[in-house]
Amino acid sequence: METKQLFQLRPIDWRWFIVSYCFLVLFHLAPSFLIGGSKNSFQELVSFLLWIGIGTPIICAIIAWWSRGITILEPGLAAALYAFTLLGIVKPYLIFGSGYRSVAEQVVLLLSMFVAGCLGAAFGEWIQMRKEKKQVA
Amino acid sequence: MFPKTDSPEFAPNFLWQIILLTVIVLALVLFSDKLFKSDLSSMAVETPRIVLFPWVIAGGHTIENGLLAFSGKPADVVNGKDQVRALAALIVVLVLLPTIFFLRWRRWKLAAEPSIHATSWSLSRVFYSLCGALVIYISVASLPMAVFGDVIHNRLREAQAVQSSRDEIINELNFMGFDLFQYYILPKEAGGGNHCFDGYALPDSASKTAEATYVVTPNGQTVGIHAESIRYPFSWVEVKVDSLGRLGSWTYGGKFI
Repeated sequence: METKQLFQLRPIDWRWFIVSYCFLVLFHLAPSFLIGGSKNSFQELVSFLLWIGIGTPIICAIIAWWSRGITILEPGLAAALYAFTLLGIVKPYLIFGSGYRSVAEQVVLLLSMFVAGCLGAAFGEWIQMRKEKKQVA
Repeated sequence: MFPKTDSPEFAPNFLWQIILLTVIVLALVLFSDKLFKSDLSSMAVETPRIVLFPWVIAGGHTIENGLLAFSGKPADVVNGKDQVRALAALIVVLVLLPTIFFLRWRRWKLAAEPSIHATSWSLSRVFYSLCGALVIYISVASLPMAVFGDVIHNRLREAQAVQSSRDEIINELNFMGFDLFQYYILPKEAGGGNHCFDGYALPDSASKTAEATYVVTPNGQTVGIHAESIRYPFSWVEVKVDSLGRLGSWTYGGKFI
């Protein structure tokens, strides 16, 4: 029954969308910046993809776990917006090629980040459900 | 309207505070180049102005000193500003952040309701979480850095040792070239080859050294020398010596490539 609730249609909670985006900036971008000390540390494609591909779903999972109730779409959308912000900060012309191919690659990246964020958040919700079940038991 | 947030999940004004904080962080990252413009623009290795890893600052200085030494200049003394930066980073990373994180964690564990959803989100909670995140990131990053640093260090040493062995063999081959030329120009009565390399044999002391074993193959007006490394099996150097004692057609095998 609870598993079905995950996929119920409901309006997006914009407050959690904003908070998710802020958390991604604060818990992913800010620590990376403070540790690495430079926004230019991730200009190589592989390191950039590893950095956001691993870090963002983890943060989304934590956000979903921290939030009350079910929060899956909000971190997913925030992850896509966050990836868009990062593309602006980390100078995408150094990562991607130029022209239409570059635009297509960046669109694919944003969609992938949305999916990765949703998957991460779903994992976080699953952990939350398990914990709640344990507490009830 | 929103059952998830109608309950006090967020403290009053939390949204505005966190948005403001995010904007500040984004501005800091975006304009960090202009805000913290390095005063050491002449340096080949520019260390970032804000960095919580003191070893990044130290690494930058080590590389810089290496480059200075390479260009024949004396090593640069670390200035007071960078010393303070490194010390501040050490205090923040190893003392302040773990202390705040663990004290908060202890308080949370001792609370009557140690549920993550029991309290509403406030800026202080974000701050404590950020301290925790930084402690975790730094701990997680330190281990691979230490392991890979050691691996890279060993590989570098190994590469240097292979290079030194190869240089030593090349040096010995050069001496053999002199000896061969001497043999070539001397008449037979003086123990030479009379403008021919045939009959040349390496002295016992030269045919096997600490670095390699040498095999000489005279062929009229040229000689081929094959040096098989003792320290690195299956690694070798081959060279040809002509009638003027010049060494050419160098070929390398194994680790010497």
